[in-house]
Amino acid sequence: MSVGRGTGFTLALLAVGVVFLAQTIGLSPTGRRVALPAVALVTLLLLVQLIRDARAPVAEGGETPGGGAAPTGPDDDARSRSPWRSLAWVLAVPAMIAIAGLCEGVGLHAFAFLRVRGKEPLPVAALGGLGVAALVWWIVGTLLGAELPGGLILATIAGG
Amino acid sequence: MPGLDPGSVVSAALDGLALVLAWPNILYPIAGTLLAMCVAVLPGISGATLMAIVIPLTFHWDTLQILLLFGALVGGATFMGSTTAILFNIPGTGPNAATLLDGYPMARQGRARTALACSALSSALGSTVGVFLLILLIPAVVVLGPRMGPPEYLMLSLWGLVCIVTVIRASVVKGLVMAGFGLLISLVGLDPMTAETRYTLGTIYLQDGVGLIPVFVGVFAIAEIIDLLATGRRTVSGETDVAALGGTTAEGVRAVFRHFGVFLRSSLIGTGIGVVPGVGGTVAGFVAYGEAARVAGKDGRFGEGDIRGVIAPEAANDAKDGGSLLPALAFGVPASAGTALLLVALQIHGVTPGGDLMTNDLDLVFVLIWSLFISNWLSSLLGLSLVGPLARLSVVRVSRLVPPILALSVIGAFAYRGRVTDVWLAFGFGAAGYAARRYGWPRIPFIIAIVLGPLFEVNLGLSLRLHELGRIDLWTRPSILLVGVLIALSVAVPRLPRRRGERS
Repeated sequence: MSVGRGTGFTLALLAVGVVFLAQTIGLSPTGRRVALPAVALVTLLLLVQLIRDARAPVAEGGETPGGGAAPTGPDDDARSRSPWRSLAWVLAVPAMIAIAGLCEGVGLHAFAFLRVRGKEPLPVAALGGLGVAALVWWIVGTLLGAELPGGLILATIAGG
Repeated sequence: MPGLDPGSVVSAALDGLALVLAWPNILYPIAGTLLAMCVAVLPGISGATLMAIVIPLTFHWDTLQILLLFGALVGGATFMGSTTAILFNIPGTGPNAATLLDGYPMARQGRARTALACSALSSALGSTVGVFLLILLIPAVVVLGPRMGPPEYLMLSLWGLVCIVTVIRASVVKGLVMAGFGLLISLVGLDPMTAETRYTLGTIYLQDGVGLIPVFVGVFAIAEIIDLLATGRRTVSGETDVAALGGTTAEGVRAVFRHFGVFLRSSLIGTGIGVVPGVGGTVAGFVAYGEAARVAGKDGRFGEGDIRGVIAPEAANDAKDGGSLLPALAFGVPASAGTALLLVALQIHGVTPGGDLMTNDLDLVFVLIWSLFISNWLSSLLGLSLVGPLARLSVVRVSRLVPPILALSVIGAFAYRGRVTDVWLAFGFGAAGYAARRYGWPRIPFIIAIVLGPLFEVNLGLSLRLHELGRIDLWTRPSILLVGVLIALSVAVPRLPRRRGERS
């Protein structure tokens, strides 16, 4: 059996389920009253799904939250030019926040995204980055009155 | 608490309406609505957050002014939260989360105008049903309300969990697995009965549990952004010109009347859940959504842009607002964060909820209710007039939309508890949500289970304990039997016509 990416995801879920199961066993009878039936059912059903995957591999992509076929648009056929690259672009946001801080990280990411992925002119990308950073600062810092978390750079400067 | 006769309730309702409409009192609900609409479109800032900001500014106000303003703040925030849910898959507030399940797919199909118009009208009409039911229910709820206990809440959450089965369409196995994971995630943190730590991986952060808003933002908004980028779509709707968009405002308005049964049933569910303290609008939205999906059966395209998936949660959300005021004002038991802050504001001004307020100052109670009602209608009518400009956002290039949507997602996740760790969590759930979407694992059962899990577990524990102590007899409580019958009908009724069809 060749392990398709759909099966890979099922295996990943099974691994998470096993972690939950291992932790549930150590809980008190009261603590696992709801958890144990839930995790047992999840693990069992994941095994059933793995058998199903082995018998009839599931076609990838195009699913909706409800599990049916996704609604299609004029250019939906271009699915998955590079999901990894898209994932990397999005996950770069928390990385930038960790490095530069909440406000600065989001702004820098917006600038880089607009310039590189959006191919916007430099002034437009810079303005977009500044605008997004200002939005975060205004809502979080001013409206909510919360302290804006700094990043590693700020921590290093403050530490040095 | 003494009983109330219907005549005095109607008289107080009319007195309250006269007070609200009097000049310059009417300016307070209008100003409150506009303020709430502007602020509620920002993720993470709910009506409750706005009330918390406003309370210190109202220390010198009269009770009447407070009631007029706070009713409007609750009402105005509810509808606007649904616009970001429909357009960008980001729920403005928790109660709007169910709207995105079908609202956003409609926007992706170029029918944002229809979804927005439908949402606006459902909200306004839902609040109308909620308010009028409230007037009718006040005498009964004042007597019956205190008899609601853990067994009733348990049955209510069970009803919601049963509804999960109805929204699973493609693969029951995958749907149940996702529901199971949702239930497990909802258990992360301290056990509410024993304070035992569960699934915290030794971290202090997870002892507070997994926040709902970071999960919603991750599983829907961030996952959707990854998908938009991966598919290479140029715009959310796939069109680059507004003229090419399908769907109209009129279509959205007509849809509400075409599916009037869905609307009415959802409004009733919303009002009923609103009356129950501690359950909240998020549960109301999902239970109404699940019920609409259950009734639609195979005819429904829920999760893929079915207009009934917008009508149901929006009607329930706004109908719930009226119902949620009742336990707060009659018994001092807040049904949501918004009503808790309302109680704080009232107590600052020396108004004590309870029997005196409900009998001697019932007209003041109605001032609040009418202010909420006017605010709901005003925000929905303004929303209808903004449908066109808002729908234009669905034809903006994805590359230009992604930075502000990601920023709003970060803000929404961070604002929930003021922790940057919630932002990491949201992005983690975003990546997992994208993978789930890509490989056909439905996200709706996961979300419904995560919302209902704590309510189910706490009330299961309390009910069993009370039963062990001999404090309650589970089989003699009429409300348990009533919800039990509803659950049985939920499971049985959709199968009956199918069997008849199979026989024929």
